[in-house]
Amino acid sequence: MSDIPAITIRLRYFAALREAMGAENGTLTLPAGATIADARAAFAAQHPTAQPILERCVVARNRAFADDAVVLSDGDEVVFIPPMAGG
Amino acid sequence: MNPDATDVPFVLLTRDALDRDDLIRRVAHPSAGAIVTFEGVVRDHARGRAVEFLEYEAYAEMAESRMRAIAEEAKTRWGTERIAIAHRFGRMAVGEISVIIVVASPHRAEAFDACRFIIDTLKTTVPIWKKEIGPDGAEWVEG
Repeated sequence: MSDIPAITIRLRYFAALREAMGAENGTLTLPAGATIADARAAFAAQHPTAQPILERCVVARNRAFADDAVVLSDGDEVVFIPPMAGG
Repeated sequence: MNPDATDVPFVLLTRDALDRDDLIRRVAHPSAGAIVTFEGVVRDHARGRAVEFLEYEAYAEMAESRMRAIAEEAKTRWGTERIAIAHRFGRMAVGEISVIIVVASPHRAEAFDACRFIIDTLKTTVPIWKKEIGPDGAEWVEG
């Protein structure tokens, strides 16, 4: 493991995902160069019960929407955003 | 009427009850002949089920920046320079106000259009969620 560079991202959970996780935040360690898509796949693998919600989520990185191809950096704040319903 | 009203959109996310008159004061201006206000009110039913409360949750830091971005987009598209958007979170009972949008502009057409755009865009692109709580249980609203 020590010879493979890794990053750790910070996760925050809201709404249905927060309830499914029973927590408000967490972390996820990924190989350096990992994308949003990689984070989503790794998270789903670690938390299969959250998968049905995760499938309906869009993703924010550092408080802005980000698509699957975006490359993550160590310390990024990533939020899987369930379907929004303000108003 | 506030001759010193700023043309920077006013954005508020709060647990407290919303103050419509304060928001109107923030956008009213001698050049604005039209003020359009939208208020979202907690309703007693949804999809055929009774609702007693709504529980709103927000990703506050991002929600505020998204509300600001939507106001800026409305300003660019309709030239409506005076906009206030206030959203409440936490638990609200039927009849309480969850969101208020106020747009002031020289004429009514652009104020109506901008206000409609803001509420429609807010509902689907601002990270705020609501859970309906009623006698039949609780459910997160989707879309």
